[in-house]
Amino acid sequence: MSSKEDGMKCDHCDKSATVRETTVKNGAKIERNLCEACAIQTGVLPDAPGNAADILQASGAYISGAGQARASACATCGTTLAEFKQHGLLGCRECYKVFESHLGPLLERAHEGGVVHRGKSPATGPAGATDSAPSGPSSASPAQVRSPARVRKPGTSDADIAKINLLLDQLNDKLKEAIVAENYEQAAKIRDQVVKIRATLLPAAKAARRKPKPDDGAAP
Amino acid sequence: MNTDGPSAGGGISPGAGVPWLAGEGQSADVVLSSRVRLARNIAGVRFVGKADRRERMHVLEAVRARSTLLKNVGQLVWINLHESTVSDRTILVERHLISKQHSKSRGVNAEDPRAVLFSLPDERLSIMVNEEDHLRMQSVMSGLCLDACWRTLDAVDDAIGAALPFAFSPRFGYLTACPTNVGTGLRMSAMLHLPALRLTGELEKVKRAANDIALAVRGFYGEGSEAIGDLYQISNQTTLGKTEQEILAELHLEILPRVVEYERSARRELLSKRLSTIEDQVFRAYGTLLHARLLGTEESMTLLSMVRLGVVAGLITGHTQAKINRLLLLVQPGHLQLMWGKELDQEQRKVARAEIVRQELK
Repeated sequence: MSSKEDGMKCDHCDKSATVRETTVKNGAKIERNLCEACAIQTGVLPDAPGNAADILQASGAYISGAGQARASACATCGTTLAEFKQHGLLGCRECYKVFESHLGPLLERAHEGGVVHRGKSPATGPAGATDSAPSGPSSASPAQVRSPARVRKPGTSDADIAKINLLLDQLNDKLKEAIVAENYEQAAKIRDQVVKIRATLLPAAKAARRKPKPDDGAAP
Repeated sequence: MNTDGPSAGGGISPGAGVPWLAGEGQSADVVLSSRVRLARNIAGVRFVGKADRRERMHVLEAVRARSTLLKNVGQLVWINLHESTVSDRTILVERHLISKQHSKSRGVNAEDPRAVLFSLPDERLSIMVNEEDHLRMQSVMSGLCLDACWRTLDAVDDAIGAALPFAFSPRFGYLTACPTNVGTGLRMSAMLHLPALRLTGELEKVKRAANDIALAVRGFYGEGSEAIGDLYQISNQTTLGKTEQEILAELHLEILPRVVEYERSARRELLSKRLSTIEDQVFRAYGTLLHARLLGTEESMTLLSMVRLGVVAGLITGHTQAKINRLLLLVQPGHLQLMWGKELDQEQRKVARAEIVRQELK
């Protein structure tokens, strides 16, 4: 799904389309152009996007300084920004959220502009990311480690996240192209799209995945 | 699984050399070995640097329990490094089964729970537990074979990952203590013998070119080590934003074959245009190794490098690459003392090293 440039009408009503959903079914690419209202109605866009903190955090990555006040220390492991800057090491997976605004430029430098993961996922879907148990000593009991039989199968929301990531991927490629072509106006548009998707779709999809599933026998 | 940590690092036979130095496989004239490493952390447990003793112990137990799921990797040996001797750890470092960092301890406390799991007889798989990340899994084999190493490790990663939830985020991928490893957590490297490029003065070009495309060039013992014996490791730096297949293709199909060809053409040029100079250097090195009575580690490796070039180029006959590769390991202090059967001080080691080299090259 991506925002549409000028001219396109919504497939459901006469308003101009702002969202394009691309799905692949049986090998065929299906595109839908929707306005924002219809997109929410059909579930393509989330109605109540994530929680406020998630959005603040995600957009904080792109608003210089916005995330800094909250990013001075990680509540889970106690890693401070100063410590991270000194040793270059994060203390737990929560640090990736807490220090996200500082990671962006660093990651781009370290990974030749790579900002989004494109490699493999854990065999059973990204279970680690959904494990909402807080990190720390209290969560270290062996009982928390799932046995193979209890590992949750990938749900539809995993597929959603994969789709969103693919889209982010494509947008980032376009962003690079636009920058290379010095088409900064276009680049700014694409960047805004990326920010919007990060702020709304990803947290919503993650929130959906956190909801317990019938087949989820995992320890809390 | 062998659960003890007997001397000589849990069933390793030091005199036999290591399979990844067997001098076999594709492009073995230049590429000594290929290595693939994956960094993983267990979800819900703080990374090693911030983990307390209980969490570290939990990680050890969790990994050890899951290791029984690994099939077709040979006999597995588990060693608790916090309970092992310094000499055991030295052997493991010299065989590249653990890093120097892991041999010591990251924190202040040398007793920090940490372990290594590796496969026998071929040592192609090893897993460092509680190094910088909870798991550092690696697969090492002889010659240019990053593809085979990757297949092995990918399967191991799937088997363990299916039973142990790894810290993963859709945006950042596998989460690692150091953000420079985040994403795939994948490091692929090849150990290359590049004496001709040093002699022709073209090595700096290779290093510069590698840096330009975000590849790291390091010494025999990896990060922070000097290149001794003309041995270099070339590895990817980027782990985020590329797929494993892309990283593999870039190194295995594009970069490394080019460096191999570059070294080969430098060797051909030396042999055709500066034969006496090269013969002189090769045979001086050979002569020294055959007759010296005192040899240091670094000196031995430098001389062995020229002898290896001589063997590969057909100037020296009667020795195999495998034997010279094996000597590169036997001259290391840990292996030397194990071969000798007792602890030696530095001067005694020089005597012992010279004697072992003389015997092997006789």
